Amino acid sequence: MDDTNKPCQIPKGLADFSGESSDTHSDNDPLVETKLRELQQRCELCAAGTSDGIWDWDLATGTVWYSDLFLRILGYARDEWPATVEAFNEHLHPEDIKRTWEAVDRHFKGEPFDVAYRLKRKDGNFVWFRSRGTSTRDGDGRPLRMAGSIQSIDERKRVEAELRKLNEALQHEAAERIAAQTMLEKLNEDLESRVEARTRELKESLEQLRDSEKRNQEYTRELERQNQDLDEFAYVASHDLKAPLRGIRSVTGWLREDCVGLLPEASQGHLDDLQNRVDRMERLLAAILEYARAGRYAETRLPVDTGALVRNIIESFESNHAFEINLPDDMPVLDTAAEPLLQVFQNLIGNAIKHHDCEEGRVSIGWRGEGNRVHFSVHDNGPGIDPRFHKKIFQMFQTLRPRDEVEGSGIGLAIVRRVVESQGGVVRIDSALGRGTTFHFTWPGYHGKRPNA
Amino acid sequence: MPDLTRGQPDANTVKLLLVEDDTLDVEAIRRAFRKARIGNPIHVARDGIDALSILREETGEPFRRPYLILLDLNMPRMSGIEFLSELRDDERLRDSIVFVLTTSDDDKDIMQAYDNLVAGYMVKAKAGEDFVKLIGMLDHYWRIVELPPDRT
Repeated sequence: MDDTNKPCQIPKGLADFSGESSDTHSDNDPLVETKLRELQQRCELCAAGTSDGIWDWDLATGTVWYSDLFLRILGYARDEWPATVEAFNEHLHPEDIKRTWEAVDRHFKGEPFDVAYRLKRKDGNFVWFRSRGTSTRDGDGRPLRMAGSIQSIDERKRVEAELRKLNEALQHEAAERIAAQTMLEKLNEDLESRVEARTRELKESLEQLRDSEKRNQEYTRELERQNQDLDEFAYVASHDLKAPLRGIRSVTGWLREDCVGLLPEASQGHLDDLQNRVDRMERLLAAILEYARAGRYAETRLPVDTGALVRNIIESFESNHAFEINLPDDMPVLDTAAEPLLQVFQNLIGNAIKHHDCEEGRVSIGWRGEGNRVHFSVHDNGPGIDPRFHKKIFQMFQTLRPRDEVEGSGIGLAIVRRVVESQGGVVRIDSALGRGTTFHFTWPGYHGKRPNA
Repeated sequence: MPDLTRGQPDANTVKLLLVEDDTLDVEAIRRAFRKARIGNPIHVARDGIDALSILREETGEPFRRPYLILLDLNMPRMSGIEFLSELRDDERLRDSIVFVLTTSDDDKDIMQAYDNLVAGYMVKAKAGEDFVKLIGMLDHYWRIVELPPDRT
C-alpha cells in the first residue's frame, strides 16, 4: 500500500493476510472494500511498525514498491527514488551486484532468499543491508512477485570488520610474539653457550692461579728456610768468632799491663794496633749479626707516630748541639712496625751527622704521601757524595774514608737498604760533591692519618 | 795464700771449681782474683766429665766443702746443662752452689740453667772488664752467705 491511499491489487496469495480466501469475493463488494481497508491498515501498520525497509517487486512490470522506511534509511524522499528495479540496481554496490542477483536466481530455483548487499545512500556512502524475501509463482512455477525486507546490518558489518581487523592485528601480534620468543630462545642458547665457554675459561684461569699460588707458597717457604739458615749462620758465626776475639783482647791487655817498660815504644804501638783491630772485628761481627737480622722482624703493625719517632732519635744524638735537625710538624702516622723504621732513620740521620765536614750542620726531613705509601727524604748540607760511589755505598762494609778513621762498620746503608726493601720499598741517593746529600726511601702503611694535634 | 780474715769462721776457705775449656778465660779469672788479692784456691776442670770426676774425688784428690762452682755452658764432651743435670741427680752433690758464666745471652739457655737451680747466670761480656765485677760479687757472696755444710 502506498501513502496516497490508492487501492492495490491483491495477489492471490495475499489473501493469507486477511485469513480469508479471496475466491469468494469480487471487486467493489462493500465487504471487500472494508476488508481492503483493513488490509491496507494492517499493511501500513506492519510497514510502519517494523524497523526494516520493505520492498515489493512486481516481476511482470518491473516496478517495485519501496516502503517509506526503506527510502528514509537511504536518505531519499519519495520523489527522488523511482519505483523501479533499476533504481535498486543503480544503488547496489558494484561488487555486490553479481552475488545479489545470483541469490535471486537461486531463490527462484527454490532456495530461501537471504542475502547481504550494500546500497548507496543519498550522501554517497554505502550501507550494508540484509535482505530477506519470498516470492509467489504462477501455475507453471514462474515467479510473479517477490517481496521482502532490508535490515541495516551496517553496525554488524562494521563490528565484523573491526573484529576482523582486531583479529588480524592479534594474529600479527601473536606472530610477532612468536618471532620474538624464537629470537629470545636463540639468544638464550647463544648466551648459555657463551657462559659455558666463559666458565671454562674461568676454570682454567682459576687452575692457573692455584698453581701459581702453590708455587708462590713454595717460594715463600724456600725463602723462609734460606732466611732461617742465614740467621743461624750469622748467629753461630758471630758467636763462635767472638770467643777467640775475646781471648786476643784479653792477652793484648795483659801484655800491655805486664810489659810496661819492657817493650820498645814501637811494640807498645803494635799492641795498640792489635787492640784496635780486635775492636773493629768485634764491631764487624755485631754488624753482620745486625744485617742478618735486618728486615726479619715480626710484623706487628701498630699506628706509629713518625714525628715522635724521629724526635726521639734526635734527642739521642743530642751530644751534637751544633747540629740542627728539622722535620715538619705534620709527620704522618703509619700502620707499620716501629723497629725497622727506627733503624732506618737512626742510620740515615747518624750518617748525616757522622760524615759532616763542619762542626755545625743541618739535617732536614721531609715527606709526601704516594697512594698507600709515604715517600721520606733525609737531607744534609754536608760534603755530598760523588755520583761514582752512589751504588757502592749501599754494599756491605763500604766506607768512603780510611777504615781506621771511621767509627762505623760501613754497614749502616746496607742495613737501610735491606730493611726498606723488606718493606717493599725503594731507597736511593741524590747527591754530588759540594751539594749535600739527600736520601729518599718509601714506606708502607699510609692511610692519610695525621697525629692528633 | 789462705786468708784467715776472710771466708768461713771455721777457717776453711771456700774453694772455687772453675768448669771452663777456654784457657784464656781461665787465666783471666786467675788474674782477676790475683789483682783483687783474693787467695781462695781455684780448681779447673776442662769439661763436665772432668768436673764430676773431681767432685766425686775419683782423681784420688780430696775435694771437701765448702765450694762454689763456676760453670761455662759451651764445652766439649759434656755441655754445661748436661753436667748440671747429672749434678742434681747425684745424692752427694745435688745441693752444690753453681754460678753460670758463659757467652750466651739466649733466653733459652738462661731458662734451662735456672730450671737446674743455678744460683745465678752471668754473661761473660757483662761480667766486667777482666771479670772484676764477677770477682767482687763472688767475694761478697761467700763472705755473707752460708754455704751447704758437709753431709758425711
